[in-house]
Amino acid sequence: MKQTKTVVMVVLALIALFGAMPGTAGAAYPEKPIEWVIWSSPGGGADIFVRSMARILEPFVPQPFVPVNKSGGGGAVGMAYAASKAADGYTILAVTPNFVLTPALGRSAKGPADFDAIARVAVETNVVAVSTKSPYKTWDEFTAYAKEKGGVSWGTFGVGTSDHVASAKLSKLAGINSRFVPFEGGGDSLASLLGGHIDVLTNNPSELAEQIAAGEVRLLGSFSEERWKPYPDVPAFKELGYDVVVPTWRGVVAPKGTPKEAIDFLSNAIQKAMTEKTFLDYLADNGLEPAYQNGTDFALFVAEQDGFYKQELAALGLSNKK
Amino acid sequence: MKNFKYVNSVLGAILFLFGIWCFVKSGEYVPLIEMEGQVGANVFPELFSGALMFLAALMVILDVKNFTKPTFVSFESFGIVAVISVLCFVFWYCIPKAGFLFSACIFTCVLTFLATRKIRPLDLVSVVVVTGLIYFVFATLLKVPLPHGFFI
Amino acid sequence: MGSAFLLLDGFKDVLTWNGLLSVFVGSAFGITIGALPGLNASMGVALLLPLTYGMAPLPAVVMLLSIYCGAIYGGSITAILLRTPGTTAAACTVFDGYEMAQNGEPGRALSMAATASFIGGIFSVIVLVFLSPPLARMALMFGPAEYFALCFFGLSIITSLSTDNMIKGLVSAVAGLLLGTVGIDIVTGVSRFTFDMPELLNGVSFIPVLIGLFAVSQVLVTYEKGTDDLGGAKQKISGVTISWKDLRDCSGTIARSSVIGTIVGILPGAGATMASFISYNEARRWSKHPELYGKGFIEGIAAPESANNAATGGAMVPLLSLGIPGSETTAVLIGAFMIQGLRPGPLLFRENPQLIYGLFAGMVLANIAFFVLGMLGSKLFAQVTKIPNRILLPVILLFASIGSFAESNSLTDVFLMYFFGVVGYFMRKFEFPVAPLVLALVLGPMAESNLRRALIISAGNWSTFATRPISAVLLLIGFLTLIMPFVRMVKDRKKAVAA
Repeated sequence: MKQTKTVVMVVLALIALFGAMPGTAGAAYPEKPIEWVIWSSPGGGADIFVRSMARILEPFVPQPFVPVNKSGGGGAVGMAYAASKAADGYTILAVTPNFVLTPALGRSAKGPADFDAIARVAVETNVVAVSTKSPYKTWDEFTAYAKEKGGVSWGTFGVGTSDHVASAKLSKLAGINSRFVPFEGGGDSLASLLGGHIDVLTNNPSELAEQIAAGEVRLLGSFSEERWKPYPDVPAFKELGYDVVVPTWRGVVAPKGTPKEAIDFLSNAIQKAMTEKTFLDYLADNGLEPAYQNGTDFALFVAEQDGFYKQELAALGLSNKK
Repeated sequence: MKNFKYVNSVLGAILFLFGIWCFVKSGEYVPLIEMEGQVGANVFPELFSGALMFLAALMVILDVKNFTKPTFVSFESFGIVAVISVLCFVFWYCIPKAGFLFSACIFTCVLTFLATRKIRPLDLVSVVVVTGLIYFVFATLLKVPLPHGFFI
Repeated sequence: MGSAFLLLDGFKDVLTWNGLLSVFVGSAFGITIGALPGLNASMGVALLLPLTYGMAPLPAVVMLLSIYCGAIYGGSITAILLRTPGTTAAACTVFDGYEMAQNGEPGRALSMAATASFIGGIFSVIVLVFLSPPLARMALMFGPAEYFALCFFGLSIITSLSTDNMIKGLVSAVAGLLLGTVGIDIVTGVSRFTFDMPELLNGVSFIPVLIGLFAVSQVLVTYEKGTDDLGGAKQKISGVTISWKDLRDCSGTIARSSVIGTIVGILPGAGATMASFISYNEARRWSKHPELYGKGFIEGIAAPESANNAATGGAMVPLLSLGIPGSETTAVLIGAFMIQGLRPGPLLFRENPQLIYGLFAGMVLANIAFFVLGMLGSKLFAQVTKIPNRILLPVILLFASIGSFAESNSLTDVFLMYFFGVVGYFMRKFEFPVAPLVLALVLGPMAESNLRRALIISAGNWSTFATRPISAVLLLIGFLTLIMPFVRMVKDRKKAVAA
């Protein structure tokens, strides 16, 4: 008898434990939590971005966001996972240029064609930096040195990343023989630059901010359209006469076929959140520039970026081959 | 199997074939772009599979010539191992379909039963409770998105 | 002695109710996260990050550091009790820890793990406080060539790990090296052995392989042994905690491992896992009883555990004095600092020394906190070995499944874990040692990418490894370590012939 009682108790406890399933009543979107797929591991750049955004979006969206990390393969795993979910507005995915790069490199079967754009949130840039121990102060001095030496070692984050594409195009235009040294993360390449093991590197300015402030690292130029706001003294390569503008960006997409009302709702919520001071402060702290675009515009932007990167990868000899 | 003396030779032969396969496969990994000082993606896998082939061949030779101790393996109670391994993969297959909690409860109950070959309600209850508790800790407290299925 | 006074001030700042609470909450949570397989220190920090939003900077950062220190220690608990390393850094602790627990000494093993972790951790904080700037500069001397040499040195112990059966040990190592090549090759961008599975593009995940080889294979072996073992209670638990004699016997090992752990921890990209492997081998090399390693020898716990916790203080050196994250966890910590409006780096040291020293004091307290919790808990945790196998084994498999899933929320990893469980079972059946495979899988990819990086930097000139002093020395020692067992074999044979 005692045993039966225990069994009943346990079953009841289990039911109580897992009974809290989301309800089905109500009509307006969203009526249950929204799964937000992140293609980096917890603590990665994209992860902190999404978690911060989810927090700031709270007052504008009646349901919570549930961040889900699906890391691996430069976003391939996250894309495959998000694309496999129902297009009901309850799954969204945070994207970066890997959204077009990974499929273009033949590493992901899913790509922009499998998603509907919701909004672009921000743009960033990459910069070229050298150690302050090096004698050259400007890009022109650096090119002169590089040509004289016959070649330089240049730190990037691996073949086919946006910073590699930008650096390769720049050194080709400048006529420098560069050997690109792939690093796994910003910290490793920075340590190698400070230790004098590599000559130059390309990185995100926010990862270098502390070193720039401490006078350890000198910026030679940025890949942005115009001078990058936090560093008005650093020229954009475009104004130096090199046509290399490689923006990086962050946005949000949903699986293809997501209802228009869901997309509009989220897009509007993001637009509203972007007037909040906390969000603008967060973006500024992380070297991001607010650059909202609604779904339609973001889709066009992605298509344009897709064409751009495909062309650049082809020029590098890296186009979709297996 | 118990008195089979050349276990190591057979293993060596299998490993050798595996090495060949890896070596052939490695040959495909030719980089798309060339750079000064670049070592191709194929070099290390080729080196390692080459080493594997060498060691496997050595294993066979030493075993046949009786330079090394032969390995005797008994597979007397291999049946239960096979059953458990198959169960593990069945469990894995069921997770996305039936949901993690449901499949895990069944899985752990079956394993407990297999351990004693007796149905003891108290064991089953405690295993289910522990399973539920672990699920609660991971899924609810630590927010690990364990798959749901048609049944919780 | 300015630092010492500043440190005292730091203690004043941390020793508030808020500060102590955050240290203990952080440590307890960290130990739990670390002990649960698949959840590592960086995930623990990321999980509790939202809690710190509303807190003052010092308690917030101190809480996250406590998670970090606690998690690295916590990994040893499940490694010892369940043969399931909770974190990769605890992989080495399995070798002797599990054996000790099975010999009826789980309490002794657990308290040695806590004590060694504590000493290693405290040592590294002391180094952090007093020697940060010069050591950070030393770390910068390590370029790709030096990292390759270090990895080679780490790998060279493979031959001495497999003296019982040299060929099978080497086969196991080579298999590990091959397994390490799976995924996108970072240098050329080519996908190797991925078979069009996106989950394999980042390589074979380490945790599932580890859990499969260690824990699942053990479950299969226990089932095979039969029902006698599966039903009733096991032998009595003896040796509840370590004795002073244990501590004295291990003092040399702990001291050596703490130094190794701190140094390896300082190097960006090397980290706690590598530190524990290298110090395990060094402990064995210098030990009076190398033959006891792997059979439940207490030094075999002291070495990796003091090293991996020493790596925590080490990893803070480049983070705080250069602003360079040396590991995944420290990268997450940078994010946490930034949420508090702080940017770790040389400027923070100059502009906000009060906070930095408060943080150092917090780290000391964090080490004390996990030590206290660990020692109090070791008696309780040890009861796990009393659970009859018919309950314990299914639960281990359950833990293994969730743990493999949790790391990247991927069912592919769960499959991989069971696959390697079966592989591990056959390896044990056919007498292939597992340790060389695990070591090769950790260090192989690092060795390969750094070798190729170094060659790109030197424009294909191999002499770069010989002309750079640090790399040359490490390669030489590595080479000697590699051939040592063979030399010994030849000597023994000569002796045998002469006799």
